Amino acid sequence: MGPRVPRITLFGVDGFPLLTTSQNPGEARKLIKYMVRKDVQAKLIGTKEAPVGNIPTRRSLATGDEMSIFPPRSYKIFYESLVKFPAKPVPAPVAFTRVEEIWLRYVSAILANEMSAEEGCMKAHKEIADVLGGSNSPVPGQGLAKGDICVLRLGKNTLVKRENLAGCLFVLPTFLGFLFFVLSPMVAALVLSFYSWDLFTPPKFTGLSNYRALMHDEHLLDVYRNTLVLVGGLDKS
Amino acid sequence: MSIGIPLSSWGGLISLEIIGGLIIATLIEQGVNRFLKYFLRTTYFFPYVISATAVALVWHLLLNPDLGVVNYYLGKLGVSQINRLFSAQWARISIILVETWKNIGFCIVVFLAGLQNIPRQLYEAAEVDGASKVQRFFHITLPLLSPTTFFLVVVGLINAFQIFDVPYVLTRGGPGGATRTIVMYIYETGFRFFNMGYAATVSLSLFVFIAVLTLVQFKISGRWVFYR
Repeated sequence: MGPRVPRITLFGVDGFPLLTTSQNPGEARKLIKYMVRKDVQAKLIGTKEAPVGNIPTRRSLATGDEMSIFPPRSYKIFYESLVKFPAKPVPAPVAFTRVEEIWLRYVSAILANEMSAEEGCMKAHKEIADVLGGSNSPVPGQGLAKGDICVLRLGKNTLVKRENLAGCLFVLPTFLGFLFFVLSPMVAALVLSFYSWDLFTPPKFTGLSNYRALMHDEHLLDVYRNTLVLVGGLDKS
Repeated sequence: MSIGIPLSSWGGLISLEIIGGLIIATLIEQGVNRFLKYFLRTTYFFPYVISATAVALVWHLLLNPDLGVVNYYLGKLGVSQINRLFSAQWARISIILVETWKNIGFCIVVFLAGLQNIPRQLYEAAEVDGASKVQRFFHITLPLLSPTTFFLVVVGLINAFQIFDVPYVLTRGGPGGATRTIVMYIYETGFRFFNMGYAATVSLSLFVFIAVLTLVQFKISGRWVFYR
């Protein structure tokens, strides 16, 4: 077993698949080996004077020393973020759609050169932090200038938790009423059913004798029948 | 005892409330005048707001054989003038009618809310297809009201089995215990014969009875309740 490698989802990078249905798998493998060779990849990238513009498949070409050909300014963020924040599927948080909307709006503004990347990131971060209810705004120009990316953390004081708290507070009065006026009398009745009590002398524990009396009570059948007649119109006579 | 109409055909208060409420709500909904609709809705709901004891006291006067108007008008129709609350059959019918009169407003208001939730397009489509008013009622209104009806039946039965105040004021359980209900029995056991333990046991039996009844209703609701 080798070292534990994080699962990483890559996108925007070329790949060379070898199909299982391939007629000439040997030839295809040779072609792939050729395509990922360092010099061939370097040709795909081009040179500083004549850039071709492909993103290199081999990371070493982009991060290595010799690859100061024309590194895209943010290539480090791109590769580092793959390892630092490996993407894996998670259920979308509650605020996801709103965060996504804000983020995409600023990304397109940045891509359209309407604002600088730094300004866009800061504004997006501020707006997203407002949505999430956090107050952890970064110090301007500090973290971002070094090439870090904005990290959204769901802190203690998130929207979800605040909404849950509000819901609980709304339910609380009714729940207290239910507790004192419905639930506790029901429990009291359950306890009392094992006692004999005339309200004036202390209750005496009599075990199941009340339930035994219930079985042999002809009045009980009468009152149930009467109630059924009133409720359901089931007449017996 | 012959009163002409057997009691079973009167139905219990739950069927009267539901069916009567549905009919009245449908008629109110048909009404052209909006203010008449509001007026009728408020009028029918009013008894539901009044305390059950006050309702029962008023009806006790109305049913009084010497002073009450009920016997007076029934007498004009040729029905014998007796104290309706002294005959087991009439006492039951009186209680059922008073309870229905009091609670039907709630059913009407809930049914009206349910009726307003049925999309107009369904009726229009049915009309274009040539469905008559009766067909539209049975094939659109009734199925789409089934969740409302289910709610009313469940809540209505839970409340109806705890019927106490109206029969207690009208008849005190008489004549001969013919109208003594479960809760009245619990009350008398506990607070007239001071047998609290046994009263608690009977009330638990009522709790189990209602709980099982409600559970059964939820189990069979899948067969007749349709959610859109």
